[in-house]
Amino acid sequence: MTRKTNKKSEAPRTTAEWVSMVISLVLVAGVVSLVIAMWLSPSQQPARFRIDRKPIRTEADHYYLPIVVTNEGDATGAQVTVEGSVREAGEEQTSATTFDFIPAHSSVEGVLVFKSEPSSAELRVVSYQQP
Amino acid sequence: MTNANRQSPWRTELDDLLRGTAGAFLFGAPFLYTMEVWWKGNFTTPPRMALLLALAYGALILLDLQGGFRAKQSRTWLRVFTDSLEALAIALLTATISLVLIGVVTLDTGLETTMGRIITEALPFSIGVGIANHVLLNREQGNAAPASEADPSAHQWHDHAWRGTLADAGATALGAVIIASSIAPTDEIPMIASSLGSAWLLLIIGWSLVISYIIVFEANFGAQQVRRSHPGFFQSPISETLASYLVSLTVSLLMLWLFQLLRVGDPLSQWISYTIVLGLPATIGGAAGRLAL
Repeated sequence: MTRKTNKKSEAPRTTAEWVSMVISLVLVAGVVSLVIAMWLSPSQQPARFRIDRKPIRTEADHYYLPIVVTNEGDATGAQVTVEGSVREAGEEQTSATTFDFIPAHSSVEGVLVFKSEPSSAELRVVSYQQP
Repeated sequence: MTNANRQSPWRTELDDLLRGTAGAFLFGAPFLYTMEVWWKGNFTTPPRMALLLALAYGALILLDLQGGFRAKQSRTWLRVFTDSLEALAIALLTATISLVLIGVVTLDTGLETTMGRIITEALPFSIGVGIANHVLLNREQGNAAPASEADPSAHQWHDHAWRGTLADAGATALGAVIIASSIAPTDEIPMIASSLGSAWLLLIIGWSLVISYIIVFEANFGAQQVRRSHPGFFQSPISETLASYLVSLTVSLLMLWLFQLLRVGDPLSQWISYTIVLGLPATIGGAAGRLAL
């Protein structure tokens, strides 16, 4: 059977057991030290967003402006709403999208759709929630 | 009975580690496909991460005293501590691989979020490693052994290869239904599927096959010794893995259609990606189903 019942002390570790134990130790120690490092350097900057544009594509008279929103702060933003506005012939046109979550130092992608050429569009985060 | 004494120490160690891995996936799969678990990782602070790791380690020590993931029971306290450490490493590793595979942890994810998601997800995976022996190994000693040797007439009907194949396919389908039905109606499937490219889907297929193979064959658990002696299409390791994956995919497809995540008229790519994404937990369930046979 698999379980030995003898009363002698445990058999010495085999090389294989040593190898897996050392690898495990390194892995867990790595994770623990990362956590401790993050713990000791709490830079609790509030969420701060950067919006980057990607090439515009046109589709059936509409302009698709892909955007990448990066959270440069240390706190997660929830329900992050990005609004873009284009002014053409005195008429302002807006387009908005909402991201469920943008964790700290993470980026997400979205697309804003306009009727007129949006290369001069003004983009900004209009609101977000703190989870 | 067990070939642990005959085989090389490397093989024994590999079997132990794979058994732990299998346990982690069996218990962890439903948690992996729960977006709330990933979200908790978004705002897990480092002190809380440390607490979660300590909790997981504590639970693993308790579970190791009751069985753990090794075939051979740890008998000294030092062994208990180091075995639990290895179990924690397995849980962290499998959780990381899984999260990367379903596209929840990517290069765009920040460090703190990545660690938060991995450590949160590692908690259920740890419990899976800790109960690996109970789920997977003990059957070999209990039910399976007498049935295989003592009473050949008892499973004479198994000699019919078709019967054996059908029984295995049925067990696979049952296990797959149990796991897949609780995941199929959720939003995670479209969420995961839509974020993955086709190359990534191939990775998921490969991973599903590897996990299925590990669970039933490599780790030497369950009624495996007996099952190899039964005839039928499901008895060669590779063909069993492939066949059970196909059964699991079929179950996934039916579940997705029943819960109306897939409708007639949806694009083919959607049918394929949703089915493959649900196929991963389904095939894990299917492998567990065959073990329970």
